[in-house]
Amino acid sequence: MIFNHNDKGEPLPLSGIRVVDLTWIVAGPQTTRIFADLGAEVIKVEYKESPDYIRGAPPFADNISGVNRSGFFNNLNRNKHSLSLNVMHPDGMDVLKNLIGVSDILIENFSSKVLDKWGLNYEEQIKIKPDIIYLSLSGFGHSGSKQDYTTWGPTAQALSGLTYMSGSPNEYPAGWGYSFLDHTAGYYGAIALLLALHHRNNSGEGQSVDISQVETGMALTGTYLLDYFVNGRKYKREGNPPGNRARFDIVAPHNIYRCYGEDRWISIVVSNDIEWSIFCKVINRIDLLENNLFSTNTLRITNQDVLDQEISESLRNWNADELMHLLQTKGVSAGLVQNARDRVDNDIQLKDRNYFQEIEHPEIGTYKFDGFPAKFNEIGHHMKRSSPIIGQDSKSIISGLLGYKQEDIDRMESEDVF
Amino acid sequence: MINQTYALNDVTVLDLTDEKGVYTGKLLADMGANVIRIEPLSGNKTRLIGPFFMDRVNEESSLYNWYHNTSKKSITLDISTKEGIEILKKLCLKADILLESFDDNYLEGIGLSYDDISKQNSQLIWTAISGFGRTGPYANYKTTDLVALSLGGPVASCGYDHLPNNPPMCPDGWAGYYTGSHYAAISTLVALIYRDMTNRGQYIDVSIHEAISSSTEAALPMYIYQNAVPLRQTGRHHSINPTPPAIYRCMDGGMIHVFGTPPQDLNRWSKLLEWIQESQDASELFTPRYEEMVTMRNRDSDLMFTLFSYIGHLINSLDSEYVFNRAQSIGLPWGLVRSPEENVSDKHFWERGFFVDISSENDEKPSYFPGAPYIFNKTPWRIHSSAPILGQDNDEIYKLMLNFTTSDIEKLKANKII
Repeated sequence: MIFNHNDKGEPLPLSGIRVVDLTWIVAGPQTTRIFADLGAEVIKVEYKESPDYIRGAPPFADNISGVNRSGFFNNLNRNKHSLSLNVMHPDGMDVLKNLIGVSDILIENFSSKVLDKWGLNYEEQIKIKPDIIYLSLSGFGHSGSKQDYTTWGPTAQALSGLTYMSGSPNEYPAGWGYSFLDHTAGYYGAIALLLALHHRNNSGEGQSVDISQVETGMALTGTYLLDYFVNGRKYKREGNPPGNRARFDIVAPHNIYRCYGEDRWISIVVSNDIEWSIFCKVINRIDLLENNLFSTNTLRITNQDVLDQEISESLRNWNADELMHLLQTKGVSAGLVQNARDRVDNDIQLKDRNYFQEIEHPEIGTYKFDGFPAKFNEIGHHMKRSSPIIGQDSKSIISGLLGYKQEDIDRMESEDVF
Repeated sequence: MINQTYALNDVTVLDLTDEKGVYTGKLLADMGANVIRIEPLSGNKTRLIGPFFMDRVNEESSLYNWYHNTSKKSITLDISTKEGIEILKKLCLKADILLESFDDNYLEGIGLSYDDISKQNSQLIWTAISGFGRTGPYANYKTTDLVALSLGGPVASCGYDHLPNNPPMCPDGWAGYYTGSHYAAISTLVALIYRDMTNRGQYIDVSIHEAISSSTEAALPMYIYQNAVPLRQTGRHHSINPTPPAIYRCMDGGMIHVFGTPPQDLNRWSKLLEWIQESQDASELFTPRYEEMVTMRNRDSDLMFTLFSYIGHLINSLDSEYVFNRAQSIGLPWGLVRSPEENVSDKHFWERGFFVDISSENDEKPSYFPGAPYIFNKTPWRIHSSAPILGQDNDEIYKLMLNFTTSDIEKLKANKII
């Protein structure tokens, strides 16, 4: 048993929980990254001949591709262990089953029929480990007429409604510039596993959980679905999506404005008359305060086109970062539109909270990682190991944890089982 | 061993959050926790977020409030009064979890601090949700969903490359607050697991900014490993080098999001080519150069743009449902771009029970509710009750938890404490 500790030598909250991690790409690995950060022993099972797709995805360290060189993979799979295993070989399947027998959780994000084909569905799992917690994360779930349909983050976003909800009115959807729903489905995976663990702590009972990635996105459209159910009002209507303006036009200004420099923008939300007065003073436009078109929130909403034009012209030569601090110290919500460079190099809040931490990787060197987004006063997370070299823990798991004899290991090695 | 029907049957939660954290409590309540909304006498401000039932703007008709407060109870309490804060302290002694999203140090200022309360209830888990965390230079900065998604990175990745003067886009739908709430739920449940083992509670400082900053897929690695900042592109992934459009309009006006194309095997590739060939002469694609896109995972930009122009023509000439089903039938993970309500007419989600009927709860409220983000086989997700009317549980909670008598309660009401 690997028992993970924090810097003070205290156990981490999920120390002692072993996870058989059959996931790949992003959504499943997001769930197990959270578990690994919080101390669980996550054993990533992949075969060296068909590694996780993200091992082949850029960016690569020093721009040199290689199975252990993807920065994207390194970021998602830190703190995990790697068992290379050919589950199509009977001995490989035997190892997997023995591993399940000494584990708490099995998680996979294959398309819906894969574990059935392997003869490893939940009914088979509980024969091996009666209190196993089994989580499946698939595009449409393991039931219903579309259960064989597959999604990736972007198409799951499109189906759920989230893509449509992003953009300027009367334009193509701007959508999401990355797989937001891979992260989100991964969070639901983590929430579900923690709920199941709590139930097991209370009852001794494991269970299976079926997550559809599309449904996790639909859960985030709940308010709009209700609007359709009770008011018969569709989201798809004139004026939707609202772009960067406040939905339902509740406050103005509420927008993103261009500032000085290349691709520099600031978000500003002025939510009442007091803030309006502060805002006008900060940007040196007290004339706007005296303008009858803008004297109340209702008028500012009605005259939003003129208002946004006035503000846009005034902010062109502002430094967005400076303006954000000036507005925020006086109580107006404002934020620089930060890209990755801004967040890594210039964000003084993230720096102050020690958000980015470095971990050394045995093959590619030391890189920064984004941290766990919460601080616990009693326990914590750890950022000790980089992502694993593929198969680095195969032998220690098969011989040490599972107790295979040397002769079996030699035979399996010669037959490329791991 | 407790026999549980619901995963969180044994947990009582005090929920004082506003829109920043209100979803956290719903995640716990729908899994069986006894979640008590503690509201000012005028109601939590989430009660005035639209849209509204029949457009009636009042505290009981907000669909936002209905959606985010299912399965919760509601009591009123003016915690800004001395008597009010004393009552809140007493409730903390009987609770397992406190969720709050007040401005920095507000609760301490009115007399409730973790240090004090944990001496009397060492098992209490106190989850503090805030825009930027409770420490650091931005601790007092004011967040909004727009500002949170701007500073955290998503906005920089979303927008229009075909409209170069347009601002980056903030997706509609509270995605920033949802991301913070997902991490708040994960952190709270981790602390609960830790408490199962140790009987110790703790204080958790959840930063929405950090949660969002951790959810932008490869954006951080692209900068950390390659010093590159990806460009946003219309309706598809941000990228260092431009990629072909991903969203195409169909004959019937619907839209398809193309992803996972070209596929990674020649079997699906040949089925795609066959399909393209049905609509146009695509002999150019039946060449080794294009086959290498599949076999060598070559993503040469010219080839990609050419391939996608054929795909675009194909999709333009067909109806959207047909394209979606046919693509899926040959293993391509393409998706329809749906508006949220369009999922209501997809029987798949009814078959899985995503939409639930709660008509018996209250006649005036809708019969159907959007539902479960996960399906548990032992401890089901469930809407236990519709969102509470302001203060509806005052009598029950104050009597049951604090042994107040009817006359105690009358007096508190008369003094406007509850």
